[in-house]
Amino acid sequence: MINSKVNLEKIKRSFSDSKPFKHVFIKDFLERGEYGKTYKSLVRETFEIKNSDLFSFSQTCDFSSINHKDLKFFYNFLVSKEFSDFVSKIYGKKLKVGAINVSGTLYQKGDYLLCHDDMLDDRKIAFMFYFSDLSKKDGGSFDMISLKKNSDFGILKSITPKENSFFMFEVSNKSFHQVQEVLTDIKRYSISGWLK
Amino acid sequence: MNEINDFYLDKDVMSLVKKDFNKKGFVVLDNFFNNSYCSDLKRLNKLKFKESFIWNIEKFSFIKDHRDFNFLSDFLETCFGIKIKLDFQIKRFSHRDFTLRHDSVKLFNDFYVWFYVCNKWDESFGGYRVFEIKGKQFIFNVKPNRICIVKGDKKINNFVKYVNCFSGKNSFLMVGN
Repeated sequence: MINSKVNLEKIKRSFSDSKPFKHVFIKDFLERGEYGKTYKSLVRETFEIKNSDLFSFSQTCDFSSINHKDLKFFYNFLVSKEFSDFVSKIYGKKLKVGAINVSGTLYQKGDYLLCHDDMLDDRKIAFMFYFSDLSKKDGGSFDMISLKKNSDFGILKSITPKENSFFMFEVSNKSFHQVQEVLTDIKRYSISGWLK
Repeated sequence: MNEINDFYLDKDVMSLVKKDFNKKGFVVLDNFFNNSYCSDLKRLNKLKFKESFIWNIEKFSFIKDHRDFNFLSDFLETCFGIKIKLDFQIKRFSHRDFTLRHDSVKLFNDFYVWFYVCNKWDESFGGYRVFEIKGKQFIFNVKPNRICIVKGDKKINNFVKYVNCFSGKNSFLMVGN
């Protein structure tokens, strides 16, 4: 499933050296064929509008109850020992096998996720697979935010989603982040979940 | 109470408003102010607003204005029989503004009273105020010359929905508590 060209040692270093909280962004992450199958199935899924004070986006059902065979295959990979071992090696600490709350998310024009830290239910790692190519003018970037009122305050780093990329970060009391509002007609697809 | 639309000063109307409020715990009154006071309120937009931005709590602009809203206190007392000291703030919401419900910001007022000043606004822009009362959500949409009155409770939480890019250059004022 994971592209054989992915350089684990380089990724580990990138993760441990990253700021404002530990994270890593990997391009061309999945084998091309697996990526294509997952993408095609994802965009055909039913997305339900979700709204709260914190967010506005559309979401699939939890993948633990997904019917489509290709998405089920992808989900099985996320709950496999192979995936949690891979993430554990980057994280440098042991993680439980089996990703939780895995679902597909779609952000369209006007959708957003405001600043929060993800600290909930012993989550240790948050991860997302991106299935859309965005540019800065589209919005929809993943922004890492520091709330410390000193010179390093506000958005310290932004990740612009690229198709077939993988992003993960350590959940902590520093992991404040947001998804900037999508400003154009682009569709921002991702699959995300957490590891404990 | 010269500022208020005569319709709402009618005793029978006041009685109906009170009945509705007691039944639901909130009331929404449209075309509340008379035309001349509405025009006067629009001048507030010309004042210099300051930004309040706390990433995980709120973003909007505000002004401290010493405008006298005693006539509203008088209306509330006459209509609902409640004595309330109105400590009003004037907040402006435009694209990217919001307030979040936040555990550390547990406001508790006996009554929430606020009105909107704007030209045009569409629900799809966001900006509406949401009250969560006993697990149920009540949405108070932005509309020119609309006043909303909500009975307070310790368990009440509220927020203003993020104003999205569909709002363009439009903004609205929320005057109240």
